[in-house]
Amino acid sequence: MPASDEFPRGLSLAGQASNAALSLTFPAIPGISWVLTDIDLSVTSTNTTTEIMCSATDQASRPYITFGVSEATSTSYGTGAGSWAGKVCYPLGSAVTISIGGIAANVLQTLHATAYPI
Amino acid sequence: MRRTLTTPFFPDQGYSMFDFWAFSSGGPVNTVTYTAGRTATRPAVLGGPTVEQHWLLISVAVQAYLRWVTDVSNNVAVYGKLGAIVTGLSMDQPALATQAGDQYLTTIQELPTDTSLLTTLWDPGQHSMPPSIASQPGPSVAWPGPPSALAVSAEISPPNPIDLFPGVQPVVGIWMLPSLLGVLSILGGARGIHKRIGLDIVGAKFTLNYDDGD
Repeated sequence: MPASDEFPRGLSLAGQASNAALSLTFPAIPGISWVLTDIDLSVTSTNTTTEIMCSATDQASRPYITFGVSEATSTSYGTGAGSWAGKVCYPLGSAVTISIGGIAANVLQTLHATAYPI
Repeated sequence: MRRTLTTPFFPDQGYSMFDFWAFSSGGPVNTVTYTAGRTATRPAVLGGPTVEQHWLLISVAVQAYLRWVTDVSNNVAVYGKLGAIVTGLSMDQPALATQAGDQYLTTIQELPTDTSLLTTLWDPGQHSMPPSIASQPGPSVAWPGPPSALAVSAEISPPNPIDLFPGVQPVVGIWMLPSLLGVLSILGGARGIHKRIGLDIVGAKFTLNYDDGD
């Protein structure tokens, strides 16, 4: 079996935050490009915002992936969850940052992302 | 007359082709082992030719052993990619310092401009994984010899013999291309005691085949 098949290629990062901004970063490493393959997010908030935005930017803050998640609201809180799956290759040596935006008052956010190096 | 000269790259001891890089994410603390690449070069000291002589370099054979150094004391998971190891003749670079203690100081140098004098010594996409040994704190683990490591070899035969000039020593190099291997802490975010993980190259040597014109 080739050595490259000995290890799983993808690195998964996960984070959770209450009443604070949340982002995940695959670090900038010279000679390495990250290929982003999966993003999963969920948000429970006390406001009535109906659209949650998630973006995955390179080191120069250029958005390569942006998607919105509709939030289901009730009288006192809203919940939203969404995911993205694909294959986007970021520039050589660039960090990749995945962040959630568009929420004025956060209660709980969870974010999970997977990328592999090439 | 055809002659050969065999030169070791370094003593028969393990040399890590990695250095370390750590980062934190929003979740558990992750430790990542990473190298931008490593280069080891060594000149062949031929002792000639003189200005009256015409010597020709015919070929270069490179042999080495690889081993995979793992940290078995921590509950860790590994992911990522290993870079290929390239070897060959460098006609446009001086010899570089090769080691300090058990680590290379030299990060990767650019590959020689004449890539026809290079070949792949180990390709992780094709070749098997080297045998594993347990890492330990401090200096590299001594190398007891085969079969505790994976033997790799390559030969570079230029289409036409290369002229050797007085005072100019051919330089043979080994280049490990960028690699990234994660050691992911899975113990509730507590960073384990990280020792060493990565690819060691041991017992590396090259044999220069040349013609001294006699």
